[in-house]
Amino acid sequence: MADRAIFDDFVASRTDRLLRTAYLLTRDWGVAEDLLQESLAKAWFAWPGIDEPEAYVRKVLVTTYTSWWRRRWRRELPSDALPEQPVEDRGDSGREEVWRAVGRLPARQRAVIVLRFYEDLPVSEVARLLGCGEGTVKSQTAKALAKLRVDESIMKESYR
Amino acid sequence: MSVEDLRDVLRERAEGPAPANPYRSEQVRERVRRVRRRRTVATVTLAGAATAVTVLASVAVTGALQPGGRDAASVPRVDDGGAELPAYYVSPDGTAYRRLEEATVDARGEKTTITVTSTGRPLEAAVMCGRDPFAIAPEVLVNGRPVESPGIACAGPGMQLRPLEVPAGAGEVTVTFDTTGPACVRRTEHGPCTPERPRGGRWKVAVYDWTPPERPVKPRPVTLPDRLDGAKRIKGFTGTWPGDGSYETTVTAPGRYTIERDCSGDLGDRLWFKYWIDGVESPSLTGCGARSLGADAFTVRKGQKVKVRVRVGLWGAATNRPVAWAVALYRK
Repeated sequence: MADRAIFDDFVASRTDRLLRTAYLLTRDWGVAEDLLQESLAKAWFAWPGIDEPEAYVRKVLVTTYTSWWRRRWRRELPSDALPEQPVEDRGDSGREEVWRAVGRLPARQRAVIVLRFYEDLPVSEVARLLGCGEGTVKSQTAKALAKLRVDESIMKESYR
Repeated sequence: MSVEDLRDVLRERAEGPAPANPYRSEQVRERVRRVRRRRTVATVTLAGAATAVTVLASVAVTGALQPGGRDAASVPRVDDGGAELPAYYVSPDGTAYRRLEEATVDARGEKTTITVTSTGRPLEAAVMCGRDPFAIAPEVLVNGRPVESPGIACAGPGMQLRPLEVPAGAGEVTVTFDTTGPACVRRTEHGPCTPERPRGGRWKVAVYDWTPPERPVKPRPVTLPDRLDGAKRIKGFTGTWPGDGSYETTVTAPGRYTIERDCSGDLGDRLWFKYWIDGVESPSLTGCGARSLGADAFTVRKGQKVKVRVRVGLWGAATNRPVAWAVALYRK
């Protein structure tokens, strides 16, 4: 169980990585900081009962993000309308297009992509974080990768 | 594109330079305090009878707002002029204030300038008032020009804030606190304004920025009484700024009329009123906290029809911080 005395140490030393995850979710450093702080504040109240602080805050961060998206507080309006043309690797412009395409993903699919391919978490852990079944994570991953036009022959790699 | 390409894109984006935030711990603790206050007040509100609720809720909020250095939660209330301007605090409507720079200025005549980089957030000047209700607070200038809102007037100990008008696109902003100007003090309501003798000590001053609440904070509704100082309320209007910004009416009954107003919301004292009585514009803006002046009173004679127009505005920014206001015409 975590001691509240180490909360400040945790915030000072362990939150930069979480901020970067928040940035991938929100695509704005200011909103990411807001999201991170909101998650840390929520975690503070549960702190004495938390065994793994970083995992717990990550879970709160993801669920807070998806709830923000549902409420549309942030006026973020991801569109289901994706470009018809597949995204090809064309150097920097291709990477830019991928980044834009990630931004167009619905919140839950974006969360799955970030957790799976930035945090490198296994399907089981992503399912635990999102509070859903592993099958849901796999299907959301497949849908997201299809929208991103990731090569389907390599997609099997993502189901480990 | 492969999954590895996707990984690369995410890493590139996430591991670029992130804005440093050395105040994160402080800011998180401030959020924790806000949540606690909301929970405390909510619990009390649900638990008690109406009267008890009012008393206990105000105790809960006031208690949470007491100062104590950086742990002071919200609006600082101090007993003497020795209190510090807090690094952070949250106003009762949940707005997070952050101190950007602080300084002191000699009460006997000095100019102190603070230069801050504009964050794009609203900026405010702060002065820590002491116990002396007649002390004349420093005049505040932005980039060498006096601010448009009324000057800081100390009425007791505690922090006073005033909005700063920052030119659009300004990178750096200089905020000057000036105690060198001529000043006089009116010690009674109708007494003479006599030159103020310089007093010792230094004013604590600072510049803050604030982050708007995530959603608009609903202000307490305001109403004006049916009778006031022996006058009867004839007509009136209640609205919420910025949605409602004006009111017009016509009166015909003969008598002496006064226009009264009231406001609520954290920025209620920044709302200003301007009147046109029978087409004649009032000479100045009137703040919400001020009592009616002569310019707000008029007489309607028999057979006369007088049109009254009221316009409302606000000094400074007020994103998601609406102000409820009421205006009424009273006739004697």
